[in-house]
Amino acid sequence: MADNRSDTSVDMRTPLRRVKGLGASHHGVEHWYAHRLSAVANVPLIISFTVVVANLAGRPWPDAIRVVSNPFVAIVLALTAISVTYHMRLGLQTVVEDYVHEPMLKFAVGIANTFFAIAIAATCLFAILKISFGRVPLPPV
Amino acid sequence: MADAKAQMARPAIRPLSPHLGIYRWTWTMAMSIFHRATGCALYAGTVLVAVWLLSIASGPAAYDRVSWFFGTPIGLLLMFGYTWALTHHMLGGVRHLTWDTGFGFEPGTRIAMARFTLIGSVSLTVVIWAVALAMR
Repeated sequence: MADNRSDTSVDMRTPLRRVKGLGASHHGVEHWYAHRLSAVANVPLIISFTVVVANLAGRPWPDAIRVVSNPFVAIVLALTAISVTYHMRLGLQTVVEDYVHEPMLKFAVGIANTFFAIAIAATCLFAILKISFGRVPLPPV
Repeated sequence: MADAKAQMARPAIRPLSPHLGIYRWTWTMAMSIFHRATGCALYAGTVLVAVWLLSIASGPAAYDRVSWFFGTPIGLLLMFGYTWALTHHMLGGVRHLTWDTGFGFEPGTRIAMARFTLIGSVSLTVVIWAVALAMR
């Protein structure tokens, strides 16, 4: 960001580095950008999610089915599940990289992180779809 | 000359930084730690969301059991804490997104933004719960 060199027009990188554009981390900005992108997506999704949950708190089961099976609510909840689990996997990866130094443990925790995020996403999506599809009236046989 | 030699023999006592004796909590540092802590708490808390959704999909008996748990003092405390972690992490995220664009780095603004994260998240949590309880 802040560049205090006297002549900033001089590029210190080699041509290959400049073409690859991956920077000092050798990974580029992909992780950083994906984390920010999902953060932006999370803002409206989490607000909607909070409204749905607060609305359903203490209400009986038929009400929960009615609300969650509403296509608009179901789609918002499904998008929330995808965006949140994606974002939290990226976030915990950063935390693991910062605090876990033993290479094999870091490797194992990284795998566990991915598995956990996908398991939560699959569980939430399955539940939302089961609630929604179960409400479609079947044509008479 | 003699004075300079005496000073060189006895090195000046300077604070070692960052040293616990002079270490001081700042708003931006505290809110940075809170942001990571709430993020980790929300990570674990997704289990509660998954259990809740799964209970709706599983039928009235499972839903009633899960609803009962969330209605207990521990359940309510978890829900309240989850709401705060969510609002705090969201406001902190918006603060970081603002900083990512290069704005808000002036000393006063920087601290005011960090302060607002805590004040805003606590206020929002209280408002959300007041509205949710008033609607029952």
